[in-house]
Amino acid sequence: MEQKNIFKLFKDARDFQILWLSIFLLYGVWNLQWNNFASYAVIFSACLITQVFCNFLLSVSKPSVKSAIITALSLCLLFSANSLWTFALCGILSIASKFLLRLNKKHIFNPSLFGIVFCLLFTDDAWVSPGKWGNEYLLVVFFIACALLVLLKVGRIGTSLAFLGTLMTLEFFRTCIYFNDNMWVFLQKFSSGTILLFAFFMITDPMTTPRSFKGRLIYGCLVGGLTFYLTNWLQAYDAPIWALTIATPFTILINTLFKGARFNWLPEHMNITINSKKQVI
Amino acid sequence: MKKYVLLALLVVTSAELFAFCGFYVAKADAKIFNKTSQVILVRDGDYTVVTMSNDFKGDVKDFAMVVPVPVVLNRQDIRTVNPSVFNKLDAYSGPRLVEYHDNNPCYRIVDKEIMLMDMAPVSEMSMRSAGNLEKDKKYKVTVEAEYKVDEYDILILSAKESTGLKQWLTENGYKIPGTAAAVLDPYIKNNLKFFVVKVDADRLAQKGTGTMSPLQIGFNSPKFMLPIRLGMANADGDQDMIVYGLTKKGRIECTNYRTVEIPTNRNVPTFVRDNFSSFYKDLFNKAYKYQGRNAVFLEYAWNVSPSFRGMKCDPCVGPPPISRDLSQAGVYWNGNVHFTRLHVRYSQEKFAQDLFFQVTPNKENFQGRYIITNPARGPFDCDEGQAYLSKLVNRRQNELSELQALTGWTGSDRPHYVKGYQSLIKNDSKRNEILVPIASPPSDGFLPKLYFTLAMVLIVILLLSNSLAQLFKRRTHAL
Repeated sequence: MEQKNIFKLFKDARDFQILWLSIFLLYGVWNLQWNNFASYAVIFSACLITQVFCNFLLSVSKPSVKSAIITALSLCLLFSANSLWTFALCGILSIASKFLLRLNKKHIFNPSLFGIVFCLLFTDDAWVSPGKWGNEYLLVVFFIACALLVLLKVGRIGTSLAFLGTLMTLEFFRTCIYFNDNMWVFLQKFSSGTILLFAFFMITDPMTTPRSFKGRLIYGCLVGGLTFYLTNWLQAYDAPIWALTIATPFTILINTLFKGARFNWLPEHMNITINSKKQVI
Repeated sequence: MKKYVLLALLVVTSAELFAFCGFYVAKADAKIFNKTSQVILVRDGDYTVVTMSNDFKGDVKDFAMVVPVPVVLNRQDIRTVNPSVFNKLDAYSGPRLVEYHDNNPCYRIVDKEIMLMDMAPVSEMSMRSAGNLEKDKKYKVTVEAEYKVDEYDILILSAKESTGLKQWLTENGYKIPGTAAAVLDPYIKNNLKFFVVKVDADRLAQKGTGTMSPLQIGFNSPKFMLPIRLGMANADGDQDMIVYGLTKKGRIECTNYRTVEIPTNRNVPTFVRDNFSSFYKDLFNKAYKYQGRNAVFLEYAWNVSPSFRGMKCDPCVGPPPISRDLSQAGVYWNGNVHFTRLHVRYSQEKFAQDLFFQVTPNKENFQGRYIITNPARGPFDCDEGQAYLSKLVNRRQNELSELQALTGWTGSDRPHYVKGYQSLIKNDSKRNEILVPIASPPSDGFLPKLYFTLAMVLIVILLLSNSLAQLFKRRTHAL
């Protein structure tokens, strides 16, 4: 009975996301020397203020603070810069992209992805540190377990598995079969927090991935294949970010080929009150 | 909403500020670690210049080196440079000890002493022995190029299979350990070439200096990496490597291992000055173990551009590198130069992959810096003097705890470090008050971490309050 209650507790899958992403951030702060607290404060403030401001402009009564916090947490986990202004810019652009870049009442880019890529391309002050997670295998197991919990609730596990499956298969053939290298090299490549954060939290964003199951599988494979190519041939260490950016326009194409229902964060009956006023953003 | 912003500001203001003006007294250079190799990496865009130190001390006939490189190098891409460039970069970027002096509150006495460090013995690098090199198609090895560069004879090989290459190298007098073949394969399949070096004893003798120069190679490739696996196959135990990164944009960092900062700006006991090299060695050992033996340590990062007028170190342990030094190191542009010093201790067990790097726009300054504060000279008879003594005893106690936290040294061989000053306190009750042992200092930035954690917990609770309330309702309902 108690067990059932706990599962019913988080109706909104975003609650789970917030919880897990916070745990990862705190893990980094306490164990991996992530101590840029000023930047975290700026990112949080920028994301929240932009979200509330945009909601105010569109006169939405209930601003979606949760999704802004998820974006802020993802940025804290992935993004680095020298100046606090760059962090602020990244936070503002991430959230603003949800409101400005829209197609069929749905935002096109994953918000944190858009902010990061924009700052990487157009400011000379931003970078992503793929090595900052270290190679702790225990962490990886924990990470996957947590992420599975989140994804099973949202029902988007297909994208993650397609992405990781494609990337792992290709990488396994390259490293272990073709290069005849040992398993550790292969395992170390996949014990990076950045790849796992991507696999389980970013490419599964229900708002910016294809609607149908088949579409999402194709999408996951596409991002996985691109990541493999970018990492090994162009030596792009932040490859998943670029792979996802390149794959984003394909979502529209895939959506036209494989139709599917539009995603809502909350179950239908809970959305009625919000939808009657304006669509959920 | 307001709550979030307020919490955010709290975290910002809790960041510590640090001001400095002190004297540099000692440095810990790369030579204190056994089996240390040094490499300079210059990188801009896709162009990399790699300079490899060569402190080989044995018979030159025994010297040979095999380095995987991404492309076939042209003659003009290879040169030798003056060995002093390594000493300059090392001396300039090494961890440093600085000293302050207290003034006597009763009499103002100022004394300034500058001590120099004790040098640890220089260790030898292990190298393979070389014989004559011959081309042999049987092993599917192609000699892509052959150069004579000063005292070195250089071959650039490409191979089709590892066993062939290994046999070819063995037949030509290179001692390749058994485990190396497994490592050669990935390099060959990844289309890397092999830069094979030996020394011509006659040409070395003609040079007159008797010592081999560091080799410098430049190439265009998106790969920004250091192939450490071949060296590991050859070595037993851990190896230390110091990487000096010079870029136009900012720091370099490792992309497949964690790059962490070495503990810095710590107040340590004054006797550390007598033995700073072993202090830093033990500090590094402890940090290395604490970080799981697979991290890359940042020891220095600064803008060292000759045109940059600002401070280049704090304090400087040597004259800053001038344009000539930088161009010797391989910097081929005018303008900004950012200097990163990384220290990596690698072993086969913990470093399965080669080291891959990226240039980041990170321009934050960093240096490994340790502070000693010399006490004032007595007498301390006045009231201010007595108050000073209480503070001093406290401070010295803390310095000992810090020393233990950093290196594991207990300071038990220095019983008078605290007690010597404690006995000068006249008031019995105050003297005993100080006898209470002081807890070890909290690790770096403990309070900001705590504030941040509390802020995060609060945010999560606020956001999930609805869900939590629901759970609470259900529970009371069930009861």
